[in-house]
Amino acid sequence: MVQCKRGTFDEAAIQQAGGIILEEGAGIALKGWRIESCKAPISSDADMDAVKEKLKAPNLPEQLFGDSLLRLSHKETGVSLSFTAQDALHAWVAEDRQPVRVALAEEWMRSRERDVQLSGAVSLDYDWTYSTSYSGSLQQECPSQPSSPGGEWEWVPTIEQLDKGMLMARDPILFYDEIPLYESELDDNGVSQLLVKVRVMPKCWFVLLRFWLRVDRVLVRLYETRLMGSFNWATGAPLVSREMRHSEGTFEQLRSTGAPPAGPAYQDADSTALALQAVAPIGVTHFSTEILQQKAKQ
Amino acid sequence: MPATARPENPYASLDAQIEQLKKCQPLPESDVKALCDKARDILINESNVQPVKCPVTVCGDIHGQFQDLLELFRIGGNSPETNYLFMGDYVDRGYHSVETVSLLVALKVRYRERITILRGNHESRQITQVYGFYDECLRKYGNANVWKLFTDLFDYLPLTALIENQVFCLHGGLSPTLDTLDHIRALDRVQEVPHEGPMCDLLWSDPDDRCGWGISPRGAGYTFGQDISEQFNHNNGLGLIARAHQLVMDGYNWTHEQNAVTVFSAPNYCYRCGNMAAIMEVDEQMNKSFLQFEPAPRRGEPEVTRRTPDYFL
Repeated sequence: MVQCKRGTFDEAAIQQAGGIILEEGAGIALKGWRIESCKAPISSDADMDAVKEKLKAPNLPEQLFGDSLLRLSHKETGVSLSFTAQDALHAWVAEDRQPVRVALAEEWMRSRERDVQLSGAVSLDYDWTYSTSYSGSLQQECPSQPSSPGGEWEWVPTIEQLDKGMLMARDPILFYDEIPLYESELDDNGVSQLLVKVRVMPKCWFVLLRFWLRVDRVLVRLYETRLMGSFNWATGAPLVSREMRHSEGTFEQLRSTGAPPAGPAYQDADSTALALQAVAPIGVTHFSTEILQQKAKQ
Repeated sequence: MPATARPENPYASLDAQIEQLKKCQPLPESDVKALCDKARDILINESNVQPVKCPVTVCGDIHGQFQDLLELFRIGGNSPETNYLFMGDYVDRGYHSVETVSLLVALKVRYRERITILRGNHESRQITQVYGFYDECLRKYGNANVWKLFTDLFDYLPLTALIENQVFCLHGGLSPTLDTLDHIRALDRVQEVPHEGPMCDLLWSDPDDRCGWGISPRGAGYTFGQDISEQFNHNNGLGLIARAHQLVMDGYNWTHEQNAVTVFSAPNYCYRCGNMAAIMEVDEQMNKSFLQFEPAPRRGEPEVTRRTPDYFL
């Protein structure tokens, strides 16, 4: 039995908005959506081994919150969006990037050439930063109204931006949580972290999934996915909109564009985001927006 | 008779310092200086492979989790009634690196035969500037003097220890350059942890499922396979390699068919991992057993898992 730590609720505001808190504080149900979260301890060694085998992963982050979860399900359409470490690492394995080298790699290799030869040491080649462009998992469950027209739901590109106005509104936050999915200290060479946050307001819910990487004295990377579900779906708003933004830069590049030098400015994901925002569009490697749409029925 | 009733007790002031530290109150800079001077005189005479007698309790990373160090002493027994061997990483990450390392060094000075403290990769000038100890010293003392005193002392910490010629203890792992304990004894250790070379390997390398030596995909650092552990134990007449350095959910983790074990002694690491901590007791007959423990109840430390809602964008 997994011991979950739960999110934060505003009971009065939930009641006023016509929602309910799920059993054991697992989340809330509101306006056709069921939003659940769980913050579990890191996975056991046995679970780690199982995940490693299943994903055919060369290694795993030492802090793998394998039982932690965020899930948002829409009853009427059967659309379910979830965020898990395992799916994110599945994407990491599939992306199979070239490994980043630490600042001292060259010096190290040069000085150990003889040792390496004598010991027959083999270079391990995998992306030890656990970088993933995972942007959530979309599942289709049985809709509550099987007679509803149309087929499966899918992401389609749009030029529409997220409704920032609605997100800026200081409506009460009915439910809030932030859930680490995995984190690695990269053997003291920086930090790699995947974290998802959620807040639910009376008019919409909002999710920020963020992969953040800092390799000390080398680079920072920030892959952000923002998802927003409007409770005005019935009146024509998209069921869910999604924005993906990837930024990265070496400390050398960043400094040449006027960003702060390596140090406190990159000590966590929030401050890194600020530093990268300040020099954008330099460093932005990907930007796209999509909405969930139902495929036309064959 | 209480210690205070004997004015001739040469340890009275040291005992008072230990009591103060156990209340999680840092020592004044002048006391830290005197303590580090005494500790250096002791450590300089210890070997790179410091011999240790059983029974002894072996501990892994602490990382400034001071309340949990006190819990460790409650579970494992107080020093000096229980002999201790700590395998490094006293500082960084947690909120109380200063108090943690001060207490361990004070105990070392007070009971040198009863406690052994090895060097971890965090006992270094460079690493502590990135991962917290330096900042904590600035915050608690207003300047970097105490950081300098401790990091200068770290250069003298022994790299490895050997319990009754059978259990080899160190922070990280093996090095392809160091086949025998005599190779390790011959290292000149009194220096900042170098970026490369055998001394660096002892503090940084990790065991791995893959056989033989591996070079980390980071482009620096080794991993070693079961065959390497077996061979090292065989060549040196050892039964076990005990090491720390890596977070493990249960606080300890056997690997390489019981040729090596990882011990990690910081429960709920970074105040959110939910892992158990463990220590390894080695008794008079060299039997090994593990004691696991959970975080001590604490006051005055932020609960990182429960945040107030914010309007993130």
